[in-house]
Amino acid sequence: MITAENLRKRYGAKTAVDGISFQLSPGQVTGFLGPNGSGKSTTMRLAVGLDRPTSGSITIGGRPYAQHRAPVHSVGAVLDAGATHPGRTGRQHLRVLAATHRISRGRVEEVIELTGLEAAASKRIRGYSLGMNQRLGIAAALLGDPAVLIFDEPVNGLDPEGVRWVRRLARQMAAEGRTVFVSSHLMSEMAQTADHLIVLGRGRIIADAPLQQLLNDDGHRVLVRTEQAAQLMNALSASGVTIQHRDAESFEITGVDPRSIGRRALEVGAVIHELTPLHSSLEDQYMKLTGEHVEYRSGALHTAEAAHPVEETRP
Amino acid sequence: MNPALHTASAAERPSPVVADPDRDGSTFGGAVSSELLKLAALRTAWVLSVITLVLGVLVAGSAAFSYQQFTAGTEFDTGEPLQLASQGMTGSYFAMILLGALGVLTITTEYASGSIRSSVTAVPQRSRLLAAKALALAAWTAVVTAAMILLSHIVVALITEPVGMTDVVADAGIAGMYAATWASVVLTVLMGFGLGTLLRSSAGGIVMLAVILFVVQIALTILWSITNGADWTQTLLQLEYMSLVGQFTEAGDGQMPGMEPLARWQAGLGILVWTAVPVLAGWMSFLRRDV
Repeated sequence: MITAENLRKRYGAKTAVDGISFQLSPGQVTGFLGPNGSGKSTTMRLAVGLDRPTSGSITIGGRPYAQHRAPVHSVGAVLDAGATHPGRTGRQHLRVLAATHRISRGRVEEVIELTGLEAAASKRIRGYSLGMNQRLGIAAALLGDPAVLIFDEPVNGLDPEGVRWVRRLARQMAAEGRTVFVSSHLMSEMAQTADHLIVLGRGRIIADAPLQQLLNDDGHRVLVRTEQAAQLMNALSASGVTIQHRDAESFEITGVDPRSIGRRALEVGAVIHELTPLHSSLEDQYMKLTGEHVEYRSGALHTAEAAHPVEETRP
Repeated sequence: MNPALHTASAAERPSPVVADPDRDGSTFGGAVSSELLKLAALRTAWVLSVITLVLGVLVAGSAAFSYQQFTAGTEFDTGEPLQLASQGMTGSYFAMILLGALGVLTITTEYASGSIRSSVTAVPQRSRLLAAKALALAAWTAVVTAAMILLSHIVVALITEPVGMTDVVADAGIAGMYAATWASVVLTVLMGFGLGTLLRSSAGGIVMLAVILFVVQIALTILWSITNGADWTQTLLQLEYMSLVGQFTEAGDGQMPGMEPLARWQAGLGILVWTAVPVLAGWMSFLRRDV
């Protein structure tokens, strides 16, 4: 379990993490989202004692990481794919870490095999690709068979097979009852991996909720296509219901579930050609949540896509 | 007061695997063996150690050969074994800068590569980590320096008459000088380590070490000359690092003109202070700063 209480970190005049509190439970994957500079990596660095909090605390299993007697068995962290010495081989890097906790060489070979690094383990790390470095970082994190896993952007540089492998690994670790804390910029990936999300913006928590709750936050939206659009729209009008006209035969309605719409259409004799529940993507929700909290914003693109944004996904 | 927590939903979950802070696993011995593995995997450590050995032996051989060729049997032939053995130790100055640079690099390459983050994550008790690094480094350089001294002695003993092969233990003066030389090199390495920890920069640490080893003495000598040998400049010269090393290794036979040399224990204490200052400053910095 990871618990942050009023955690704050300042670097000079800049506040990277601004008094956040959260609690992560075992048995689920918690995704950590936020724009660049929102404080995700800083929070993770604070969790494993690389940075000192300015105030507040973050503990793992009820104690600061530095006070754990066998930290590698408590927490496996992948915070930086480059946290290796380029002159060592992958195997040497793992053996160096294993020696601190007297972890056997057999276990080193196990994690090498688990992460698919057999062919590269004897090569110097300076020749590794970003993806191989990520795998090595994950192998190091798994060395102590830890109860808590902290992954900062673990799929950066990985090929599709590697991305899928990390996703399955995170899910499997959570299924075994471990606490899994993952940050990523890949919304689609997070949507498939996380059970719970914490969204940061400018160092503060702007959402902390189960993934499904976040996705459903904008209520029931349904696309309706009928030849009697005006008639059905009138029949569905009520307080709390929003209707958005699309074209002569279709409209989007919020605040009524599809079953009720179908029943009402039957009552007024409207022939329905389409009745599709619409779901916001995680990316839509993320953009909505973080819109005001983006510190580094890209310039506007004058492209066809910018002029006609991609519509929401249908299931 | 317990602040309001954003708590994750307690939906159906498997039985939790909980981090146990009291579980044993990390030990100081483990940290030391990890640091020794790092040194053994560091190509620079081997290169600098081999160069130190080769240079040390070559310098000792040259000094012994010069004595045998040009001094033996002449009026300059004092036949003093301690003096000859001491000349054979001239290579220890190279050892100080080369192994001292290794002391700097041991920690700065970790900062440069980012691997310090892996090290601190594996051993988050920073004092333990730094002590393990220092001990592993001291052990490595102690072995290399001892090998250099032993090989140099063998070369000097083989080439010159006055120095015997067994004098390395049989002659208390020579044994003491060798021990002091050995200790000076190891302490210089630790000074380099302290500078590297403090500055977190390879170039900065090595330059600072070179300044302490070579430049301060030159600067103070110039100052001494400009001030016509003012007492305070003499005192500074006597307390300068390399001067202390000279007084320590040569058992009080320092080269200070017109001044009573320090006793060996005093010079040794001075070297310890010179070493302790950057090591302690580096340690404090390592404890306080983010990685």
